[in-house]
Amino acid sequence: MLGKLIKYDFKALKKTLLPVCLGAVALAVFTTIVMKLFFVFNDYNDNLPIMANTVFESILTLLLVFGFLALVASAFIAWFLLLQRYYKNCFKDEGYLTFTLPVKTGNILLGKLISAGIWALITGVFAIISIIVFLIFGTSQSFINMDIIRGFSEAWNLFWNIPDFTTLDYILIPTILILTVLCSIAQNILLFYLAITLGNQIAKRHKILASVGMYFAVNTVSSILVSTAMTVFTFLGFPILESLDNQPMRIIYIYFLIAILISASLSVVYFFVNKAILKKRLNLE
Amino acid sequence: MNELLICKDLTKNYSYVRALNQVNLCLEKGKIIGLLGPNGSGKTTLIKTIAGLLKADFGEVLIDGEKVGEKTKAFVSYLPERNYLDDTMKVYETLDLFNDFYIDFDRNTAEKMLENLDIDINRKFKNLSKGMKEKVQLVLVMSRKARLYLLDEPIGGVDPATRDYILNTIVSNYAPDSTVIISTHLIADVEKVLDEFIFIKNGEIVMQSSVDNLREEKGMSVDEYFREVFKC
Amino acid sequence: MSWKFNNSKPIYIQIADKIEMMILSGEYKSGESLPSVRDFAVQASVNPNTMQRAMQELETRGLIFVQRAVGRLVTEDNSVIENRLNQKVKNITLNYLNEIKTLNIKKEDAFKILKENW
Repeated sequence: MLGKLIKYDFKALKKTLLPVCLGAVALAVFTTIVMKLFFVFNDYNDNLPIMANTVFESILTLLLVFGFLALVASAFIAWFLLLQRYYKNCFKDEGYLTFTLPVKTGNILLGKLISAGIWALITGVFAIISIIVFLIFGTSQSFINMDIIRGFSEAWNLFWNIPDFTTLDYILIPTILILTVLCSIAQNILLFYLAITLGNQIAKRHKILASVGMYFAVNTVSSILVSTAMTVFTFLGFPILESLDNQPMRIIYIYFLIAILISASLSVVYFFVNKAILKKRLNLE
Repeated sequence: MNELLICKDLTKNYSYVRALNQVNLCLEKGKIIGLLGPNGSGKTTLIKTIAGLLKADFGEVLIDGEKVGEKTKAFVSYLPERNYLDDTMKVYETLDLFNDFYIDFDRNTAEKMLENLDIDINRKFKNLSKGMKEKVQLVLVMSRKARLYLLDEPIGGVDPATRDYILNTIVSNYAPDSTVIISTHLIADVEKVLDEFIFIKNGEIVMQSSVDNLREEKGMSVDEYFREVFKC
Repeated sequence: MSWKFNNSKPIYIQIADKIEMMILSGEYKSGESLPSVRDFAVQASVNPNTMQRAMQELETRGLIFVQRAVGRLVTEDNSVIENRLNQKVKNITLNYLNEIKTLNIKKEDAFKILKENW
């Protein structure tokens, strides 16, 4: 049943999120073209009257600003759509179907987390593609910016030839990065989900406003807990850290692992609190 | 064991308003039962509690011996008083969804019924008229071979022809040993399809009886009796 | 076409009466099989349980009988049908007479109007 839940959530999200992803790439292409126009225009601007010069320049600048703002906005829109699906599918009319399906409440939540997580990754990939397209094609007068490509490959070479790095380091670093990304995506999604659930439970009206309030409340409580935990960790772990003084990579690993651990534990707490509320106190009105 | 649904001392408050007050009910298998009461009497609250969308403050609901949960949801077919489908879906996608989740769903029956209604399953749900949407939902719900059907106001706000269609669909599709609960305030229209009726008033069950018994004892239709009981 | 019912009598009695009329008028002939309870219920758009009860009522009246593997058939005993038909006609006539006599009209005049309208 979990597979089916993911399938339908994934499909529903695709309908709204794929256009946003494609839109982001289109915007990257658009800003690239505007930049090219800038470069072309700069070549000829000496031959134009000052008036036309300023008009052209301001139009191009405006288009550029618009392009960048829209790109940033698409990231927010993507998040909004992810959360809107949860809100609509659980607490609006569609909730009447969602919560009469013969599935475990935990699976409903897990299905929504996984499909939303996958879509968060997909939008992330599209965002990176958009940025790379702009950097390579939109930042120089020539068709392709060779400096950027050279920079990339140099950084790549440098990374693979860090002195004192063992194979283990090269396995650990990507693993830790991937885990960090996955955990923070899960943590964020689950925090928003919990806030929406709480907002809908507590408020009779203005449920969205209540959800926003609950987001800040839960977030604040979490960060107080996290900073307390971190203080304790640092205090207890100080002798260990000191003994590792000459092995800076190990210290970095330990910090990342602790961060992942905290993020994962918060995710688990958010998940089970949310599940308990949906299971025991669901009240669709 | 012939009871299908048992409600024990069911009580539900909505911030200071008592929506259900110690409701005790016992419904048998194989009956069509009218849940009758004026607006705001607790009909929808009771149905939603049985469907699992509301949690009662006190008391419990047992359906075929099970507490409300994912097990009961597999054999309870619920029609809400609103559109509960994702309206960006096409009609055939909603059939897929029911087929995927409910093992008692009979896709062929549903497709035949939709064909008889001239509803193109390739259309998007949101492009259908209000009446068609209601019919699609009814077809989905009645194409399940469920043990308990919960139909919340299935004939509210539709024209008389559609009303007949809906009642006929219910009568011709429910499995003989399953029970149907129809909540409505349009009693005259449903009376002929009911075995039993329940009067609910201010969240309390006022009366539960068989339609023919009432006629034999009081020489009155349920509709007439309802007007007498709920006289303002 | 769904059937209409009045408010005072139990619905199953009204259904039984209606089907009895169909039998007496020859719409369902002696020995003919009736539709299944479910089909009949859908036709009348009534509850199948109510239709079932109506069938039992008709059995009690001796108008139909159940044959295994075939279903419900109209009785082959024509005397039962005849008796019930006569009874019905007598009832209707008595009702008519009761009402017409309250008008203090002459027998001959009543016959004349009856013949004209037959």
